[in-house]
This record gives sequence, structure tokens and C-alpha cells, in this order.
Amino acid sequence: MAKGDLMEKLFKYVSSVSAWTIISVFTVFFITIFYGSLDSIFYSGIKFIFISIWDPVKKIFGALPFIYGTLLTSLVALILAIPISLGVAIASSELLPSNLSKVLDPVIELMAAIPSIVYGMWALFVLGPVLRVYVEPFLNEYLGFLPLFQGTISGYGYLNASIILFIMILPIISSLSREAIRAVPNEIKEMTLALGGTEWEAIRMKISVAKRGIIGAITLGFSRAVGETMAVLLVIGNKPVISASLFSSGATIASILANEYPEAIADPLHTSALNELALILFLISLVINIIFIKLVRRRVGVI
Amino acid sequence: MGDIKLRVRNLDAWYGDNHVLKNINLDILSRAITAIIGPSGCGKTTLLRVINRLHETVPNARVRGEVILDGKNIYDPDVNPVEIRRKIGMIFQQPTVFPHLSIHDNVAIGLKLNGINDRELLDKIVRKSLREAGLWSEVEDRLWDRATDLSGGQKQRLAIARAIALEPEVLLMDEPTSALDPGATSRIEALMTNLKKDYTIIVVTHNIQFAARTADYIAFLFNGMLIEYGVAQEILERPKEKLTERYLLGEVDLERWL
Repeated sequence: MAKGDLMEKLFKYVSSVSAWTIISVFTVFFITIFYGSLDSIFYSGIKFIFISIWDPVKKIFGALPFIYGTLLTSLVALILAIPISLGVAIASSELLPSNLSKVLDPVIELMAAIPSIVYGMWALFVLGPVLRVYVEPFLNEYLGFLPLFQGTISGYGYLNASIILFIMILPIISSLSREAIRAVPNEIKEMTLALGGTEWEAIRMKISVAKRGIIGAITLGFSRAVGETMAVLLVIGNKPVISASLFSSGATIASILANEYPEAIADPLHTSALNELALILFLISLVINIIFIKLVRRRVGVI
Repeated sequence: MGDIKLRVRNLDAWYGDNHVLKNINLDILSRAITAIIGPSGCGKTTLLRVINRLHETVPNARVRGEVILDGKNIYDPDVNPVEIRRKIGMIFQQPTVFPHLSIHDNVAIGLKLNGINDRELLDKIVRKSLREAGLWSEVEDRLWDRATDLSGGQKQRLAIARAIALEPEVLLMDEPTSALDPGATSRIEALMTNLKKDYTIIVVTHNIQFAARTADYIAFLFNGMLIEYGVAQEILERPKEKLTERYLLGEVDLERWL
């Protein structure tokens, strides 16, 4: 057997082992979390995800406030982030002169590289006071007819967490969408112009061609928001309550996990309940990804 | 000779400091195929892109001079370039489709961009254009499939269908067969001969055989200058300029004949 053949076999072998490693790690990960949450599953049953009381001392475990907090903060962050990051992506790939986007691009990458604890501290020391003194009173005065903007003003809670999540996912969605738009051949734009399309229609055509990549970028941003722990933990207030008000304190699954692990170690049921929360977080991410994959795989688009 | 469809007058074009077209004067005849030939970088494609005002969409690109379509200078300040591009269709060198659209919508897109949304009318024009482009029988049972699965030659005929759906007055083709195999090339050539009954066609090519087979008139461009222009057969058989002759003979180093 020639030496080349041996290398080829070795390479095939090594890469398939690597692929199986990923699958095994994933499986082990899932099984251990599932196993860890068995006690809690038997103890609380299906009520676990429907009860809104979380009281480890009285052994009442209801995950609803955390599921609510996770989805609420992530959704608000996403609603703020999608239009702005698409704007950034379109501007830097299509509209800005290249010397300006040469400055903008690295700034976006840098923003994505800042550790989340730094964002958390900024939200704690800067964003919180600003929200308390300016933003929340303003929202309360002019949009106070909405339940979202009623209640006690503190500067900390869902709104603060949502805004810091928005700032954190902004660079991810921006830079990935920008690359998706840049990957579309310029011919698409010229073809649209040559058919009597306007400049704006030509840019929109490029965006529709890049749609899959943009949806992928949004998925990643959403997953990041759902799983973000440290920054949220610092500003959300960590109270297991469900409130329609964005000014209210609350908690997310990730933040409560980080917050309660130290005290839960002494109580196996509490630990198991936290494991079940982790399992739910895992499933939420899975469902989000499946939904977005379905969106991407949809049949040929309409104009 | 037929009617003059398009007059190019004292035309200069630049990319930044690069002077790519120098004082071009050219009359394009109606319902005929005019081929623009010349070595790479001679300005052929730029000339095409000046005619449908696509040149100016590139940063730092400039034009001076006139392009007169049916008596109206398309570079007059009161002319909307979007309007001009609707009237002057273009086929690009790479057979490119809109990858997110079906075959049907790849043809309909130009009409939709121009505000036609009536489904029945769209379907009718799409069918007619695909027939004219000689693609109908190959795609009629998969109109709603994505266009990316078509072969290169089919994509190029789809591009032609897309352009003629708008019933343009002039069709510009930028090396339409250079990325195609011989079979697909001869289909496009036959199609072009057929289309010239209804359209004025200007085709850019560096392939002299292609020009000989399709063109009625040939313009030879070199270094941004129009060297010679006339009836295809005369240019090919009895070129008046030394430079044209050397180019047709396949000589690479043309500078010394200038």
C-alpha cells in the first residue's frame, strides 16, 4: 500500500472520530442533565412549567417566571436589534463609502468580543441610573397607558436586561448579516438595475437573496440572548415574579441558575429543580433553532 | 442600411482617472446585430454599460458626450436613468439567475419592478417571453421550481426571456456565450438571429467567429478608441485599418500598429 493511501485512510478515520466526538459529547451532556432533573420531574410533574411560584424553602418549584423572563427579555432585545442591525448591515455593505465601513466593521467585531461581565457592569453602573432618571419616567409619562410601562421605576429589571441583551446581540446580528449581504454577487444588483429597478430595489433584491444568512444571524443572536447569564444576573433583580411591566424585577433561567447554584448544593431537590431548568433552557434553544431552520428551508420565495 | 436607432456622439468615459472611452462616434442600426469587438480592456463592456446608463452606478465613474436613442439624448438632465434601463435590456456575461426566485418569477421580476402586478398578465408575458427565448418546452412543467437548477445555457436563455419580457427597444449583450459550451452557444446564436427581427441588438464579444456568425455590423475598439466600424463582412474580409487587420489575424502586440 502506498504512503498516500495510508494518510488518506488515517485522515478519514481521524475526521470521523472527531465527528462522533461531537455527537457523543452532545448525548452525554443531554443525558446527564436529564438524569439530574429526574427527581424534580417526579416531584413536580408537569406543574413545573405552569406554576409561577418558586420557593425552594417551602419546596414549591414553578419555572414559569423564569421561562417568561427569558422569552420576554430575549424577544424585546430581538425586536430592538433586528431593525438596527439590518440597518447597520445594509449601511456597511452597500451605502457607506468604503473608508467609513473600514472603521465601522472592526468596531462591530470589537463589540462582539467584549466579555459579557463588562456589559453587565456597564448596565449596572451606567444604564441603570440613566433608565431610572430619564428613560423610565419618560416612557411612563407618554406610554404609561400600556401595561408595559406602568409600575415602580427603579432602573433595574426586565427593561434594563432587555436593553443590555439588545446591545450584546447587536454586533453579532449586524456582522453576520453584513457578511451574508456581501456574499451576494454584485451581478444581482446590476441585473436589477438593468431591468429598470431603482437603487433601493436593487439593494432590497440583494437582501432577499441573502435572506437565509440573515435569518441564521438572527437565530444566533436570539440564542445568545436566551442563554446570556452574567450581564442579566447583575441587572434583572433576580426575583421569580411574572409582571406585565418592563420596569419590574424578574429573572431568567440562566440568571437564576447562576444565582442559586451555591445555595442549592445542600438540597438535592433544589439542585434537581435547577437541572430541570437547565433542561428547559436547552429545549428552548433547540426549538428556536428548529423554527428558524424551517424558516430558512421554506420553498422558493415569492418576490 | 436601415434606420438609425442609436447615435453615440463624442462620447468619453472614465473610471476614476482611467480614461476608458475616447471620443466614440457610432450609429447603431435598427433591427440588426452590431458586434463590438476588441481585445480585453479596450472598453467594449464600458461602451455597453454607458448605453444603458449602468456605468454611472459604479463609484467614481464619469461620462461625457451624448447617446441619442430615437432622437433623445439619454444623458439629458431631465431623463431618468431608471426609465432608460427599462427601455434598453441587458444580458450579462455570467449566466446569473435570481437564486431565491422560481423560473417563472425570474422572468416576471422585471415586470414587477416596473409596477405590473396583474397575475394573468404576468403569466401571459412570462409564457410568451420564455417561448421567444426558446426555453418554454424545457421549463413548462417546472415553472415554479427554483431557477438555480437550470444549466448555464438555460440560465442565459432565461436571462434573455427576462430582458425581452419588458419589450425593450435595444438589447445589450455582454459576451453572452463566453461561459457556455458549443451546443448552448449555437442555440443562443440562432436565438439572436431570430430576435433581431424585433430588436436592435448590440453584442460585445472577443470571439471573432461568434461575431462573424451573428453580426450585421462590427465595431472594432482598441484602447478606448473606435478604430473601424462598418458592415460585418467588409470589416472581416477587407479591413481598412492596419490595426483591425492585425487584430483579426490574431496578433497580440497591437500597440505598434497604432
